[in-house]
Amino acid sequence: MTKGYWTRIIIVVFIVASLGFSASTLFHQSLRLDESQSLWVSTKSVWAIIQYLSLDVHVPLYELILHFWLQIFGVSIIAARSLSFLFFIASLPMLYLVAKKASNTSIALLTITLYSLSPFILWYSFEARMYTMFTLITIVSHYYFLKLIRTNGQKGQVGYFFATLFGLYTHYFFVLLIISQCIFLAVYHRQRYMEQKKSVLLAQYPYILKKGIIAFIPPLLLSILLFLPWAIYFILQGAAGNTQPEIPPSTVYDLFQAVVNFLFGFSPLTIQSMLVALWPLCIIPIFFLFSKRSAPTKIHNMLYFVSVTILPVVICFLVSYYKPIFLARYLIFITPSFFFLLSWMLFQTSKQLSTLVISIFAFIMFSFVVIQNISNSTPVKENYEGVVRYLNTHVTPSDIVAISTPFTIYPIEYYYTGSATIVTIPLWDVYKSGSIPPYTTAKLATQMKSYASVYQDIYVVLSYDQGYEASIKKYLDTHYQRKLLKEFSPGLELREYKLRYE
Amino acid sequence: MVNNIKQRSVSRSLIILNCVMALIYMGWWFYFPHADNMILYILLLLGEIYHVGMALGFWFTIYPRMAKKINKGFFNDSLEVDIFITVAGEPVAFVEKTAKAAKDLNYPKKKIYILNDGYIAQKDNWEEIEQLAKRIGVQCITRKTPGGAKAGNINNALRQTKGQLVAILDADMVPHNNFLSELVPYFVNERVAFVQSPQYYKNNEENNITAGAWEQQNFFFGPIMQGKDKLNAAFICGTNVVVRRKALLEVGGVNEQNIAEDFLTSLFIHQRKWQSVYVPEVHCEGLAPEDLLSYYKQQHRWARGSLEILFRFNPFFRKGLTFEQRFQYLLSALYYLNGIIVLIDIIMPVLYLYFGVQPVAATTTSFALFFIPYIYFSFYTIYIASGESITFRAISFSQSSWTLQLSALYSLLRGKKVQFAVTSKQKKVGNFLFLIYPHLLYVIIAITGVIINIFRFGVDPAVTTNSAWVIINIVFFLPFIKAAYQWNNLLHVFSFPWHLHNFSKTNI
Repeated sequence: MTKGYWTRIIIVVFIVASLGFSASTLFHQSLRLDESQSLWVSTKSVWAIIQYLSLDVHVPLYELILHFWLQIFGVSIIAARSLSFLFFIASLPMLYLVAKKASNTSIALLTITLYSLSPFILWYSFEARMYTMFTLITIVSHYYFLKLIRTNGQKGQVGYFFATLFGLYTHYFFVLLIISQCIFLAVYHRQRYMEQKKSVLLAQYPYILKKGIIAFIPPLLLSILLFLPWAIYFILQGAAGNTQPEIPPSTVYDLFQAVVNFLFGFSPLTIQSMLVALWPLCIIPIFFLFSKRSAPTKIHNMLYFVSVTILPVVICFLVSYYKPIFLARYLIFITPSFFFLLSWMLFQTSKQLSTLVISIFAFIMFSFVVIQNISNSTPVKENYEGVVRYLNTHVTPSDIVAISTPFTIYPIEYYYTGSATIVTIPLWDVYKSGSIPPYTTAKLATQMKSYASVYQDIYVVLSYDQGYEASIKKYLDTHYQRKLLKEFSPGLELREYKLRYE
Repeated sequence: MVNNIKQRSVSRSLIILNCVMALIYMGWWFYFPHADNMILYILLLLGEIYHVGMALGFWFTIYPRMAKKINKGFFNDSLEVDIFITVAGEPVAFVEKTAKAAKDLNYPKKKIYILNDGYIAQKDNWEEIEQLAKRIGVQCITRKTPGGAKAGNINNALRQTKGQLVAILDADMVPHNNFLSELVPYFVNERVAFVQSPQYYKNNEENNITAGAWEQQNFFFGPIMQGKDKLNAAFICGTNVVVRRKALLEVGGVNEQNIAEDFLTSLFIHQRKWQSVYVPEVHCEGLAPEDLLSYYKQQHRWARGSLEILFRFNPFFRKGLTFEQRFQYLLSALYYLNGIIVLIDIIMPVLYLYFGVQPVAATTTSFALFFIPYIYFSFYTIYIASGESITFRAISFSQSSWTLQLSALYSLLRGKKVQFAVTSKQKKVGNFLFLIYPHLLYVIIAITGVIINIFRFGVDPAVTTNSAWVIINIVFFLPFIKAAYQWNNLLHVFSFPWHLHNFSKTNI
């Protein structure tokens, strides 16, 4: 058997091991808040989904697909997660194709290996959210965009149109990809124009160039035009003014943390801060990117992948100074090009060195998959299932369960079978349309007094601090006797207080 | 056969962007509340001023501007050329090849002289060189009165010859057939003093040293010399050059006071308002140093010569030069101060690891926001300017040369006299590990510091960041360390001699 054959075998074994391990650990883990919202919304009618999401910070395509998916396979978290996993699986051959067209088979194989070993990607491949669908559409967009470039606007218009349209309806951040593609297009065509200006065939080149640029306009315009109705509707509904998540202002730390997340996923915070502190190593890629190249690639491909990897991050980071929007998961769509660039760089050195570095890299990534999936300190883990399991076995009809922040009621309701009443702090009726009322200590005091006369104990589930968690804790600790404090996952606490003595 | 040196023009907007990034980056450094230990901070600040200054100088050099108006005339053989092949003990075979190629040049009015300095340099083969000259029918000028090294050898020949132009070739630099016919036409312009062509190393794929040396040359003869040429600041590089005798005599011949005689002579010529031309086409092929010791000696000579010019003939204060010429000569000489800056840079993380002192108090990730865009844009510009041919090895060799640059500076400050030594064209066999002892020492000290700190403080962010800087420095040194020794030999020494073991007779 040839060496290449064995390499492929090892790659397949690695990918299968990584996927198998992730499937066994992530498919069955507790429902998370975001997932519960997707699941909850997707069980509504099509019109209700559109209405609900017009008030939210997300676009409706994923929830609509999930809606029909659940109709076929039943409403369960496993079924919902399977859809994300399917998108992930579909993105592998597509990414291979894009990478191969831009470089060669070896780099393409390494790209999909690293992509499928990435703890970050694996995490979202088993989450009932739109992220893997978002990356799949991004890869399709890369494919048709580069096809349009390669054929000077002759082929790929239809594919690019659909990719852009679906991308816009999958995540608002797809706009960042479109902007990056437009910037690339402007720079690339200017470069070509300057090069060809010197050419003998000057007379016909401007025409060809013009045609190359014009080919992008109809699919772009048409998709934007078809997105406009949603955009107008969204703005008329208040542009998610009341449902935007509290995102802290971005710092440079977040920037590096995002890169660490892409490569090594969500490890415990001490490990993450250690990895972020290794930031000077960011200099090393310079020697691969900006030195005589041995691995094959056409310059326009490199420029494209660099543009669609770096520009969205830069734009997002700069915008975040005005309005914080920087979240690593929202930037998941840059990971395919990021892993392509990484693979290409790893192939720039000598064969022995690149084999050694790739092996070490793959091993480290796989180790982080294990750490992320099994560690209880993984910061993105939300063990609502554990909390509710505890509540189901401990609460009685004379108790009350209070949940804060109110929107975390979705995952709790999914599992809850207990006999106690569930309320939220501040009080909010999830079944009535309208935003969550603001929190005040006075309102909390009134709420608690009303419970004290009826219930024996109150179980308070605290997670997703929206700025008033400390105040709730302080009020409860100073007014009632605390009987229990238990942390189920980072930032998810259960507290039990005695309301009255009888 | 290589015909030209790689280079690509860089857009004005990219250079302006680089300048903006550099200014923003320096802005971070000039905000002094970032300082922790003020002495270390000032040292680093000086280093960064140097780095950014050199970067600005480079961008100024490669800035796209109209080339100066020196037209190449039509082929003209009215000027008589004396071809000087300088020899000081090089193997006869090398000299023969060069002399025969010189004879074959498609330029009729030429006289070939082998400038034999073997007698002065006490080389065994000086008589063989004389015999060679006789055999192939070229003239040989053997010097008997010492002084001035290579410059003295050329000046001695200048006194005995009378061609209007002088072509200078090192013993190993074999000219292409069209060397003179391509370079001489520029002398139609009466103000042209010299026309320089690149030094191409045909053995550049021989080993790591030759490859690294060539890659450095390629960058120098690419964007740098072409940029200097547009500013009328290209200088003589010792060989592959044609010089107008009148210009040379006007400055008293080749300067004998400095071991970078070519550099200083060019400066004097430019002071007298002569024009220079650099032709970025390969017309001669020579040999790169094949071992680290030869490379070290060559670089040391250049460093010592350039630093001496900086201190003794500071180009910035020389009369008769244009601002651009002053700036370009200064830049070339300042390059060899890099050794001090590299030392400062590499020592900082080690100081933290052993003594807990650090120059910067600010969170280092905020520094990254200023540093990373600047460094990425800088390297991207270098990459583009080099015609996408710059290599990590070339950068590594130039960064790892800090020891020889410091040694050159030290010898200059002590006033130690350095003899001109011809760069060896033949591989010296031996152990040159001693040349990288400082690098190895750094690796050992730094890694020990990292290990101790991890045991003491765990993966504390400050320890981690300083460890990362240590890794970067070591990565920089690796190609240089690799080139110093046949490391594969070590594997043989420590590996068990399985091939000598007869398994069939093994009794268990």
